[in-house]
Amino acid sequence: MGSSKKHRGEKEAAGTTAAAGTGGATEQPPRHREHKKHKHRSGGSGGSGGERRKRSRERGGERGSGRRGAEAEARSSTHGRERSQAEPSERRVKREKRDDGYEAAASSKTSSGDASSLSIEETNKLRAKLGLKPLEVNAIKKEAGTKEEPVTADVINPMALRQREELREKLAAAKEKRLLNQKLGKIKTLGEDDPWLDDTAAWIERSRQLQKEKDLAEKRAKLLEEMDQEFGVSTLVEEEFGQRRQDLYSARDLQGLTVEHAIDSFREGETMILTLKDKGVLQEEEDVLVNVNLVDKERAEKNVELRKKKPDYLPYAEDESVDDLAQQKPRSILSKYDEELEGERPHSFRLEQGGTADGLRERELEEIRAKLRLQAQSLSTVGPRLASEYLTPEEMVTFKKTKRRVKKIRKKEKEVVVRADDLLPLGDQTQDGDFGSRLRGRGRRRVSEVEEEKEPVPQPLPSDDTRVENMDISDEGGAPPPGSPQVLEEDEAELELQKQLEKGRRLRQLQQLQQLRDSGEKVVEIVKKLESRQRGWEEDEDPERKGAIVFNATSEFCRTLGEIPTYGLAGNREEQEELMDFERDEERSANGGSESDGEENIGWSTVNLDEEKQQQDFSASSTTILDEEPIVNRGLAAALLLCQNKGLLETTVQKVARVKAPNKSLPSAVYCIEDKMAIDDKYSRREEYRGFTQDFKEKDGYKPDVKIEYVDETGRKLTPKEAFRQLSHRFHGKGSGKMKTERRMKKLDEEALLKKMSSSDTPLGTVALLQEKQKAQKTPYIVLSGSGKSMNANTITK
Amino acid sequence: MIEVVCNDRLGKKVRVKCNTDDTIGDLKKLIAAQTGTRWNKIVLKKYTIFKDHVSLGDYEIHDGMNLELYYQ
Repeated sequence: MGSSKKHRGEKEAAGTTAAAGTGGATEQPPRHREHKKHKHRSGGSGGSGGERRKRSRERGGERGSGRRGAEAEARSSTHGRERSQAEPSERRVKREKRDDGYEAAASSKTSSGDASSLSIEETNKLRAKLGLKPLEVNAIKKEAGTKEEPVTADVINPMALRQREELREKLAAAKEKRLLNQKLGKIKTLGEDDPWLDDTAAWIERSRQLQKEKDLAEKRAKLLEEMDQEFGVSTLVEEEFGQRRQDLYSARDLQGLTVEHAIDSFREGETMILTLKDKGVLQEEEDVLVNVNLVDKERAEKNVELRKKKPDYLPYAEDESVDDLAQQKPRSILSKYDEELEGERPHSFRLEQGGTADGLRERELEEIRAKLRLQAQSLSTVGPRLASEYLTPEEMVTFKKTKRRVKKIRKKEKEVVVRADDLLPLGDQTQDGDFGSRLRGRGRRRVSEVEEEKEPVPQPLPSDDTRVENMDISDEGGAPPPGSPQVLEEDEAELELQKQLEKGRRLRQLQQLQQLRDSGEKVVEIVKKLESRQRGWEEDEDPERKGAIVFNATSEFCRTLGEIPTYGLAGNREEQEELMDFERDEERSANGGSESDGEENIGWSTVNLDEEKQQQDFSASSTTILDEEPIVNRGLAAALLLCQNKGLLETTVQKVARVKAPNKSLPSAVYCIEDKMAIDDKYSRREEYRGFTQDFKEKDGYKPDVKIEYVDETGRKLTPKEAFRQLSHRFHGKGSGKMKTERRMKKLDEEALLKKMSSSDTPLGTVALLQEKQKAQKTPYIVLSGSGKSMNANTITK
Repeated sequence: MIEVVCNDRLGKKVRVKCNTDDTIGDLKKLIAAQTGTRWNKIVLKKYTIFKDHVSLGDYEIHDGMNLELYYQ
């Protein structure tokens, strides 16, 4: 980086000096470019740049000052030369000033290669702040590491390295051997034996020696004791020994140790030696005492149990759901694997004070468990029993014999004869519409109680309500139905049934009576109705006379239906018949001779015209008889009337407005019933041609010369045979086989060759060769001599 | 002492001087001091993400090596 920096500095200096020579213009562009570059860079790392610029300015300052000198020169020279360019010079000055700063900053930046970096001191300060140890400045390493200045590495001598390694190994081996020998040296080999083992004399000697040593030791001990006693140290010594004795391990130290057997396996009066159970060296668990024999026995028992192959899963084991202490045992899934997964948990007990354990607690626990088990209630209920078909004696007791009720015989006489007055209040409650009988029809007339009282209401049908029926019967006079009191029933239900039947019978009788009575009234009513309707009809006509046509949905529908040939023949169209008669009368009275199709049709339209005529007549009659010249300017209608009167118009009534109810359906050119369903099937659609079916009339004289050319893939024109072959290949989807295609290819090649062949020459081109030779020799002949070699085409030279 | 270059390719390029026995965590702290982010937000990578507790020497990070600087 440093070098580049220097380089840049040189360049700049050179640039400025060059600028001095060439002029300010050249100075500006490079400056300008640099200026721009600086700007970009400073924008990029603006945050951290601020701190650095301070430093860099002071660093760059010295450099800048050096350069400034050169620049000043350049400036002055340029100023001198181009005084006219005052503005650019000013700009230059300003830019220079700014450039200085940027350059200074840039120089520092370029030194770091466009990356911010702290110096060593700064870094150390930062590290101290962070709590890290300061940088270990290893100058040598730094020198070796830079990319720009690679240092030659030390020559690695592989031979020397290997030798060193070997030496090291040897030394290590020797050391090991020495240690081993030391260790093994202590052990006596078989060859080496103590001499006193075989030889009795030696043995005797040895034993004597040992004895002597013992005696000596005793003597020494005695002496020491005496000395101690003399010095009064004996008590201290004894204390020490006493302590030692106390420190000795005794039974009381066994307190709290666990024994890993069931307490039941220890029997009274038996001595069992317990040893510490094996455990790993690094395991820090507490010691456990076991008896080896017991352990073996337990293992054997376990194996026997396993070998018995008991079922390990009892799906319906209900009696094991409750724990010993009458608590719900948690039912775990696949409990047979618990031992395998979690490990064995053998019975164990702890030794108490003084290393004893009496198992008292366990026995107590057992007692408690037994007690609780007795107390525990079982949720299992008594299972289902077969129900017996016969009653047991106990159940027989529960039965009570029901006494039959003694019916009172004279009950009926005590009954009060119910009068209509009494039932009035009842009527208020009940009378409210139908109770749902369809036979009555939709519009059941509401009957008031008052009417019922006065007269038997002409109810067309019997009502379902018993109370209503009751009322009817009571209205009759309250006389009890003749048959009922004599009929004595035991049960009340039967009584009621009888009552109902009687009522029904009475009602039917009533109806018949009523019908007979009413028939006369009915006739009167009908006549009245007729008259009223006639009146209504006349009233209805007035609006029609005024010209308003009243449409009715039903009437329109009927109109379009058309003629009903059997109309009115059944005899149930009394109303219509009346109408018809009435109309006919009117027509006859009004027209007196116009052919009336009134019988044919319903006749609204005829009425219109007739009405008009009537009106006219009325008006005529009302005014003077000699009304010859009505005022024509009143309107077209008046004029028409005049014409009619004068007989200028055809008097035949043109039934214009009338729509003849057509026998066939309404003709309409505009609509047609499009049967779209017919198009849907696939096959008919295929035959369908939706295009233009007529010939083009303007192209009658057109007779084109059709020439269809077929080509194969190379562009050759095909013969008809070949074309057909091509088509059939295409159609069937497969071409020729191997032989065929090869033959075809051969044929094509031959054709091509044929084409290439010249017609006037032999295939080898002999004539051409000859001609060439002649040209070469400049003779009209050729000498056929020499070996065949000389006549080859290859030997022909210019 | 080695100088490691950390570049995040978005404009932040930082040269940090540190020891070979410094851990990546220390290096991250130094970087954070220079870049202005938080050190626990920095992720250093060179084909693999460097873990904080391993020293530069163990990662064989030498002088002048370019590390990728990411953020999390």
